[in-house]
Amino acid sequence: MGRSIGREVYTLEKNYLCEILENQRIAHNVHRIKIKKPSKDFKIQAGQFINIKCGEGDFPLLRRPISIGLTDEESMIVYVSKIGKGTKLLCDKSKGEFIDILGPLGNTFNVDIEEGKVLIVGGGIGVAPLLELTRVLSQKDDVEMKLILGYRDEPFIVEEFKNYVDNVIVVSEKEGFDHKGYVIAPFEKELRENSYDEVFSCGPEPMLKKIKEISEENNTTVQLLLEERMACGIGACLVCTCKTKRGEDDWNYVRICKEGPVFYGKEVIFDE
Amino acid sequence: MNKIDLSVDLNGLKLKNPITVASGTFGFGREFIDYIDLNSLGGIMVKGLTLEERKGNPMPRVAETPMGMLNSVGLQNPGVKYFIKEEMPFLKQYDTKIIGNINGNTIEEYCEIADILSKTSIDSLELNISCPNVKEGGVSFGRDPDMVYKVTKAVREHTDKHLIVKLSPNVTDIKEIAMAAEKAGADCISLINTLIGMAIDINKEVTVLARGMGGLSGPAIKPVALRMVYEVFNVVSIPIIGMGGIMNYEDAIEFFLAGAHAISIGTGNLINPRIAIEVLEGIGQHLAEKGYRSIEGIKGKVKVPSK
Repeated sequence: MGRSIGREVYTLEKNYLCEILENQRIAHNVHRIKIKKPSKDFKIQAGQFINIKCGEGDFPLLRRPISIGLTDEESMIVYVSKIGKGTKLLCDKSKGEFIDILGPLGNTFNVDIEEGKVLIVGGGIGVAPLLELTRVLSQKDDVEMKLILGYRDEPFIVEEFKNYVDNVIVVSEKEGFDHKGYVIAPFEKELRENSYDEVFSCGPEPMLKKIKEISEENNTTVQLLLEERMACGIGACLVCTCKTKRGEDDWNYVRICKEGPVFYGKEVIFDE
Repeated sequence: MNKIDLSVDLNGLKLKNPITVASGTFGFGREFIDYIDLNSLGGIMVKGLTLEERKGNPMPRVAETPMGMLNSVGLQNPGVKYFIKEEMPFLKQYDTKIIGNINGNTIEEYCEIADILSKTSIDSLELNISCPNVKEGGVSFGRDPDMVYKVTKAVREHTDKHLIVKLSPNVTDIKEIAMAAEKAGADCISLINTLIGMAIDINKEVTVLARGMGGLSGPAIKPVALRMVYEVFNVVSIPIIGMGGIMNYEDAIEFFLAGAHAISIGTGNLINPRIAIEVLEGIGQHLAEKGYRSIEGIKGKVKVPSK
């Protein structure tokens, strides 16, 4: 039957109408939106995203893909950066309103690590998907974590990260935090001085490119969560691709929404 | 209430209902199985196929525009042979018609792909002479009635399969293009493909798409599509599959009234993966309310008040 009738939660495996439980502005142009899970069986894992219809009717036309920031039994939190018309509409929604989502979409971070040292590096709104990752890894007794979180100005969700890990380096282009500038310098220093078993990162592409290079120079495995403009989010339209290696000297465009958004650094080819 | 027959016969291609999904917006069908029962579709136009694999265009490939989107995917596809081996068997499990969208740089390439697909159980071929996002072939074939005639005629001679020709809206007179396709032996016409467009980032002063231009789709192009279906309906006798910005059943009904015998949903699939079923339900209800018993009954019934 048609889905637009009423406000009941409808479901066809991956399409749901979900209630907004909370919506708070937590930094300049960043909102924390808590959404009720459509059911207790709804499983969404670190690295995955939901594709959200932000407006009513046909404006804006496309959904907006938003990474999952934190989950518990009954709810999931997304952190939304207000950067355009769609995200603005989403951030303007109130508690009690319902949003139409597709999900869970995409692959997950590989968290099949039982022991060792992990370095997690985020930049800008790219810190958001690393929060759920941090929560999951914090449940593993023999995994030791350190975080580097970078911001253009005012940091956000640092306290949330500190619920799970003590070692957090806060970087900002503004004065007054642990390090002034970009995440790359403290990241490089950390990798050189201490050996890590795995790096996880999400942020703007130029940052990820450097993280990949430096990780490779230090022979450290790195998982990168790529951000890209999408349309369908389910692998049909092929607009959100990235270059990945195929065999010895060939490459291919693969779908970030389907084969990703998480890739090993050694798979991805960033253009010069 | 009289029973409504939603099946349509597109000059030899029989669809259980008039809803198809447009090439390039539905992958090879797999991507939609979490959302929709593929058995409920009249037909699936698969992602555009070429002789060899195509990697497609550089990123960015998408720009959202008012009531529409620009894409510049560039026919990324694994090639026709891979499709036959890896994707056809999956699609053939379903009770729906599989329509192969074929693309070439040259007439010979179109013919070669048609030859290859003709040896399979594919239900129909859709000759794409309207892709705006490739250097060679594509829309350059679809702009000139003589070229449309030549490529359609050549492919016609290479296949006994049902043959659809997909037209580009980027032409001065769509009627002469449609007539050329009909004369060359097309069984059916599908229109429209995307309109060539552009978007610019005013801060960086660069085009949003890496290749500068791309194909505009979505509700923004619906009035143009409707006008073209109407114009073509009045000059050809072969059936038309109408498409361009269909987002709900009301849009689909407009296409039938303009002269379409079936419709195709494109960009709508990218926003609501279940749209095809919703449109189908709405069409059935509308026909019932209006007292029509088939698509044939409503087809081309629009009246122009001042005529």
